[in-house]
Amino acid sequence: MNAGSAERMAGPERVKRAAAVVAHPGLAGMAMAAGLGFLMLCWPALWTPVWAYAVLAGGVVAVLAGLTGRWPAAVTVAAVAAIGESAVSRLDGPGLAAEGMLILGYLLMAGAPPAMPRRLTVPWARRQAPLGTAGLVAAGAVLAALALRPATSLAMVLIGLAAAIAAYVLALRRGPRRDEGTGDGMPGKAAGP
Amino acid sequence: MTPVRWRASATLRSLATVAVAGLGAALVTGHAGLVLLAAPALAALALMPRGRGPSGMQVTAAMSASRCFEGEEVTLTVALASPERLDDITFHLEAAPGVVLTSPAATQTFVNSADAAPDWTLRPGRWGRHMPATVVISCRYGLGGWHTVLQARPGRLDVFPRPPRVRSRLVPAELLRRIGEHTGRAAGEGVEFSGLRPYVPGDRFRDINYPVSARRGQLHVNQRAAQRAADLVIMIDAFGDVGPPGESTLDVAVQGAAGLVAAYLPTGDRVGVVGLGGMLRWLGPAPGMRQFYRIAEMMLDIRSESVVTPDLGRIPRTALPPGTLVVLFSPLLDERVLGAITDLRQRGFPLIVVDVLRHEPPVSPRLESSVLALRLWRLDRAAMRSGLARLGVPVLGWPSGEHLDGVLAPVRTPLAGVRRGAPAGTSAGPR
Repeated sequence: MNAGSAERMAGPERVKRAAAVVAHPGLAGMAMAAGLGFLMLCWPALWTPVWAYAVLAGGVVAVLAGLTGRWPAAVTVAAVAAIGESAVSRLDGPGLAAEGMLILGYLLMAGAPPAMPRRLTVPWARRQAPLGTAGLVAAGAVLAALALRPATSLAMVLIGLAAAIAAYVLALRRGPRRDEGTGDGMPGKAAGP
Repeated sequence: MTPVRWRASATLRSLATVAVAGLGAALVTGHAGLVLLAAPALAALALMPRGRGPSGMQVTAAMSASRCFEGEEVTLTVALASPERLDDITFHLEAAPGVVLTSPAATQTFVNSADAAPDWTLRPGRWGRHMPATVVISCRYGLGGWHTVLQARPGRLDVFPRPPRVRSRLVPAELLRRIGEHTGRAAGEGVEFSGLRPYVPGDRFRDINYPVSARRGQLHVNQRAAQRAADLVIMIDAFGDVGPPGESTLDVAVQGAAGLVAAYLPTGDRVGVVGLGGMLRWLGPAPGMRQFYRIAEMMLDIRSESVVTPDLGRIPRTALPPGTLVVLFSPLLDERVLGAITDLRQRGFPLIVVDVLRHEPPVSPRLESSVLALRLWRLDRAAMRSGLARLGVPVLGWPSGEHLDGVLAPVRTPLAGVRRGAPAGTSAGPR
């Protein structure tokens, strides 16, 4: 037995095979992500001018590129393309809420683990259900707020935008130094001779 | 416990970007309804835990064996144990060149689990000492918001060359004074008939040849040849390695050497090995299967490049005893090897050269000079072989697909060399 790791586990009996082993790449997850992506792009296209179809085409290319997994930013590009389409479309409130939910679903589905088998799709989707529910509640709340027709205020919009940018920067900032790995190329490199 | 570093996952980054883009679109266009595009993403972001995942995880990588032969299967098991449950754990195996993944798929995923231990079956296809695979472990935590990547690497795997089937037929003229399986010239207690002689008191009755005794009117007994062991030293030319992987000159040389070692050691012969190339390495002749593994381990380190000219005079007498049969596996491309062959022959060693070069230099048929160069190269090699033959050194080619037994078949008679105990340097001369 040649254990090349830093530490040994307590024993094989501790290891639980909590999920099934993947035998084939997860085509089901890819198909669902692709379907949601195309729906996300085509839904606002029904109410957009013809020139916005260029954005639609770019989004479709990004969805396809995102499926290959070689360009991780393609997923974000596709979602931003959908937002661009919606911005120039004549979608009403419920339509925009549906589009927001489609974007959320696409992003979650595109972030599914690669090569996830079909039998693991349902447990994985169940884990994502709280995010979808939260998105639904938020969309409903915003719809209700918009129905009240509040007076517009430039100051409030700017404050809101600044808060969103601050949240973006805080969420994506790098972790503290003490969390870093062994520093030998890969974070948390575990084993090696 | 391996420290881990958690980073924002691609999903979290995408959600954040979409939220900012939606709010920005609402601001730029003045259409408050566009906030609806950002609201679900913002809600999902708010639900993701702010605290990062466990600061350490246990990762082990173990193989079912640390050494194996070419083509044998070994199982690689990678285990990950986390103090907290993770959203998903994805293991991706990247096999080293020459290593084939037989089962299962290279990527294995576990969902909603704290421990996972996938295993893979690997089949190394090329001898050597190398890392068979690297496993990249990707974990996500906190509703997929945080992501970390670990790497697990098992220890080195020693892959011994698989020895081809060879019979131990080549023997030197001078055999050892140890019991073996080769028929010697002296009379002894073997099984091969060697002659008749008159009976003398003390001979065993079962050795009496009754038909001959009846014809001659006097008791005669059968004489048998002694069964003796032989010394064999295999030399491997590691000055260069040309040819496609798996059939390069060094691959073929090591395969042949392994075949001879595996053929001679079980019959009680002593086998040693000398590696020509870079620093001179040798193992003196010794019997027993333990010697096989010592030689195999030495052959794993033979793949090196150097400009050092080996000095065969540095090999001790115990490593290259006089009269030892020497089999050299070489592509005959390096002048230093030719010098070593001449030196060995002049020192009186019975020597056989197996040419392991199976591929000629590539030529372009359109270029006449290229074709002419190939013809000259062939003539040069023919002249070199002829020169070695004049020196008393048979050079045997080993074409692809032919068994080593068939290659060595033309050399059947015991090869002459200096007698044991004679001073080194007394040449036996060309055969």
